[in-house]
Amino acid sequence: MFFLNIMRRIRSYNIVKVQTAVPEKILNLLQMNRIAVWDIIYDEEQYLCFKVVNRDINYANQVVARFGSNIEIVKRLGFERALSIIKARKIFFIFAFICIFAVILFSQFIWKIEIDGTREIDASDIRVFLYNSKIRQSEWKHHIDTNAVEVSILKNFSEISDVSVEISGTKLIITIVERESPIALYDKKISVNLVALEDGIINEMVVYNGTPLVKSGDSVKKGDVLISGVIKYSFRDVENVSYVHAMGKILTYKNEEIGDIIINRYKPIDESVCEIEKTIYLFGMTITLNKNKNSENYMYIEEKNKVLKLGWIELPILCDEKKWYNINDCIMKTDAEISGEVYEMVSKRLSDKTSILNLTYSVQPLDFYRINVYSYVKCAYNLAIEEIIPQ
Amino acid sequence: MDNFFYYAKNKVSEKLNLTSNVLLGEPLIELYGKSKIRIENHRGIVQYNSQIIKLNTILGTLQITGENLEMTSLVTEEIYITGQIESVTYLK
Repeated sequence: MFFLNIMRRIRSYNIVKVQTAVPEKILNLLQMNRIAVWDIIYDEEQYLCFKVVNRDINYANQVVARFGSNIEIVKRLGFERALSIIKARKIFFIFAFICIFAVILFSQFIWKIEIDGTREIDASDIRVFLYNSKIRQSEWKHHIDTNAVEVSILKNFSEISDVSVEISGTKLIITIVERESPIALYDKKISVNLVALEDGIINEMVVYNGTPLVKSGDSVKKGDVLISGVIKYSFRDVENVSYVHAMGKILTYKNEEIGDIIINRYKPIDESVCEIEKTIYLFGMTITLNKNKNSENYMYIEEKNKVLKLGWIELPILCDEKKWYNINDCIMKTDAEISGEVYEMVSKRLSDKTSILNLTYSVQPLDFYRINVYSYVKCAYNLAIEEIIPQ
Repeated sequence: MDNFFYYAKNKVSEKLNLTSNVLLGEPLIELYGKSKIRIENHRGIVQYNSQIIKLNTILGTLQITGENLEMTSLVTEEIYITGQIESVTYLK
């Protein structure tokens, strides 16, 4: 029945109505003329309703005409009807077809590059690298070899330990796993020593694997072996040597001065309105859009290397964005917020081999909404770096 | 003569173990519960309304009574009727 219904839909059919007092005769005659009808209803007002395929409608009309009645078409249904609707609404369907074609066509390009998992590495650096490697928004997605992109990212960013590149729809999703510390340069299967990266005094050390050759308080010079990957042992009076991947943390404390960190004293309230000024760098030209002229009582928050968007489409153009807020729409940051911001910015200035132990800073007002922070930081610096044991 | 052919067909049907609708053209009636009936080998509609449908067959008039009776399909010698079927009888 299901397939029969589909066939009827394809062949197209009509719901028709005939006023008659003798429905039996009409039905018998239709049957004798091999005109298939279905869903026959005979109501109290002497209307005989049934369905008949398009091809048979004229024959059915001739049959009904013998009883002095006419077929009244109530509704046309099926494929042919759909075709006639399409013909009547030509422009709409052409437009719909163009839209579908455009969607299919545009879905063949990469329109967004998402970079996930970055902590220390700036995502914009990876964007710039990809842009220079001709992996950009609006690139034909079938031309992008994800494996080759993975390899090139791994080769060019030593801080990345693993990367996966996948194309999902019109998105290029790059998931990055950064190294915990740049100390791990080699695979764990390779035997390495940990050597001093520079001169210093060891303040703290933890050995996970290997033979420690120094202790806390020792002064070391650049290149000195700190933890050896060579382990000597005797078994049944025979001296044996095995090579391992030395692991550990050798920390030296350092005091550093970090000056000129500029911080906004105010932050915008959630509902506050801002004017966005964009500086676009295109073919060596600098174009500034919506330049803010009224800078009095206005402060800005700047984001660099943002991807320019046209509606929801990301363009392969980088720009700097300044969000200008009226100072009256902003509130002053608390000391804790400023401290947190200073800590974050100092962490960024220090290398990722360094962790902050103590941070003090002095503040000088720069203008009516900004302050200049000068910081003194005591940090623990990882002295050790891996070096392959020559065998 | 007609009787002779009918008799002959009947005998052949019996010998070949065929159902009577194949050679004799007797109606084949399939009743699906109380709501649907399929009749093959009918010889025309005698009466049709939502309470009674009478069909001509080789064995006489077949009467189907019920409520909201509808012919859902009418093709050559085959008819589907749906509705609340109350009785299917041959009229004498």
